[in-house]
Amino acid sequence: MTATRGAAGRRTLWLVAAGALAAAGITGLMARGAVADPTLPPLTPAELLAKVAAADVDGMSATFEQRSDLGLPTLPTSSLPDGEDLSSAIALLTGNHTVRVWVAAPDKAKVALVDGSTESAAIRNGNEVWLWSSEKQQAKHATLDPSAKPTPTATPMSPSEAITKFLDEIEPTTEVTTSGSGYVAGRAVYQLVLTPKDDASLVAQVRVSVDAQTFVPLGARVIADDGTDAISVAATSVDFTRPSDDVFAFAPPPGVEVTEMTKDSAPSGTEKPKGDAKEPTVHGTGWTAVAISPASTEKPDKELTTILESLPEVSGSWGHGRLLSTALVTAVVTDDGRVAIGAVTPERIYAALAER
Amino acid sequence: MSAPEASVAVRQRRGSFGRLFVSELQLVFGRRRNQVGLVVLLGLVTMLGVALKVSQLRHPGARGGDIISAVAGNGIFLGFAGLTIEIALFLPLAVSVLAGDAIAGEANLGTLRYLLTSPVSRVRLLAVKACALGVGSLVGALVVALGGVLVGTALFGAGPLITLSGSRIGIGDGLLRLLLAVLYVTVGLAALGMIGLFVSTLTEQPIAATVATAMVSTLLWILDAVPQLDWLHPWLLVDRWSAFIDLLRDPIFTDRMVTGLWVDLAYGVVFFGAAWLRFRNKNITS
Repeated sequence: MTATRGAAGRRTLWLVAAGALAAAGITGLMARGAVADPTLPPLTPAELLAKVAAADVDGMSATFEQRSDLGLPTLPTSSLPDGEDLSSAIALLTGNHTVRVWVAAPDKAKVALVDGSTESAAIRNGNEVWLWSSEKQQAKHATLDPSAKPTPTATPMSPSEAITKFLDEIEPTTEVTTSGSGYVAGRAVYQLVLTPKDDASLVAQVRVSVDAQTFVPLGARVIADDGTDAISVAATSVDFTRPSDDVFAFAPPPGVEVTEMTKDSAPSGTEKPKGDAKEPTVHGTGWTAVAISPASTEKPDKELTTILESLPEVSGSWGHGRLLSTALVTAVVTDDGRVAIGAVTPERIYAALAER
Repeated sequence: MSAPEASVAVRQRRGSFGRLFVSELQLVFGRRRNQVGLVVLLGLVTMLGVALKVSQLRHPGARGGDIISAVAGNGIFLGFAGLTIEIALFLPLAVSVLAGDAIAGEANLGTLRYLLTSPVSRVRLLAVKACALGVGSLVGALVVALGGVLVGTALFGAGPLITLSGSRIGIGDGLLRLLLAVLYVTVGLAALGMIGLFVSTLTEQPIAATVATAMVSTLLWILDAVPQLDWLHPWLLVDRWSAFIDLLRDPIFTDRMVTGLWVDLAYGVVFFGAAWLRFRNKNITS
């Protein structure tokens, strides 16, 4: 009897151990990167940037996860004005997204957004460019002009000169360091840390993770003043073998609407918003720049008014308006229709509004 | 005990395990309510196909981009669409019914104590029940997928499939991917079956065990749909159940499914373990 009970006890132990192991495995899977930091030879920011500029890989396939926690209220994007482009841009900025990336050569690349049961992709294969949306069942096509050379910069510079110039330019507003190497997608990475010097900035730090072997950037985090990761993009898996050419071959499936893109109808990203006659003015520079759009007489539509009226009222020498304050971005909409927005504290926004 | 004798004993024990497993399967698939359940699963996917056909006849040309709309162009997609629709409620419900019967049902009928007189240990008996739940999950998912393909092909015809990435794959490749989807769904349902098996050891009322298991799966789905709880989502059993749709990408996207299988495995191991801890010393009075 005691023998069987002993055996049963042992079995219980095994079982509990197996359960604990399974739970630990999942935890490990979910929180990869919680292991001890790798010891890498120290590099100065300039050295690290030089290696990034010189990075040369045959190709890569990677999956990136994007997470955003801007502290924005969850807006019903469908009710937003200004059509699909704006609401899809807002949808991209909020929530979590998974992106698959393939690169085989400078002119062979594919990026696919794989959320839920839809897929949107941008593919470049030689001179052919395709944009695909499984949700809209739409393909857009463009042919790049092979004779067009990338516009040469006014003064040709060597990469190291360019890096020095870049570092010199951001030096007055930003502290640049390398520190706290860690792991991304199971690979040791260097971290380039940009810290804004101005206290009014809501950005506490920007950390860029760079693979320690290939010097390909594998992730970036924007850390807000309250310590949360406001935006983070990081690879969850990466493979530096050259993907097969099939990946970049795209032929629109039958029954799908194909739109030819010409220079006049460039992809929507570069398009200027319609009806925006007056340019916004920018106050301040660097991290604490505040953009103020001029007063508009146009009445905002009903839904937008409802959203605005739910925001707290603020007033000062500059006037009276509504304040939208998030972890990373502050915006004030004044009663005369001006919109001031910046990654700064509300006080800095009020100061910029009063400057006028 | 000499070596040959021992091996005979082992073989006998294995044989009894196999016999018990076969008789368990006969019992599960012989039950009229389970047969009706399979017909209901098939009926739902048929209904979906007919509804899509009617809407196609009434609004020809209108086509969305989701998997359900894709059925109108290719009947094979009805297999995937059927899984997508039924994984939310009907397949988990079917597994809950099987799990409720597994232990609580036998206890309720008074047959559990006779079952314990068979020459297998309690852990093996529980393993037989767990394996039968796995087979039940597989058959449920297969009926939905294959039924969907047959009904879809009859209504809409079949042809090369267009993946979510916009590429085309042959019918054979498409059916293979559907089979992989069925296996993936089976693992998830079997993990829910282990939760059900554990609940089933807690009570002698099969209805209570079934309702509790179905409620667990529904609760998990609801939690998974609340955006404010997104930190919790990766830990929920059902969170990646729909990831089989990634099989329809080109190349196939495995990351989410692999994580999903680990989550399923962890739930399965933990709840099978809990069921065993409970069943091991349980007093079988009826």
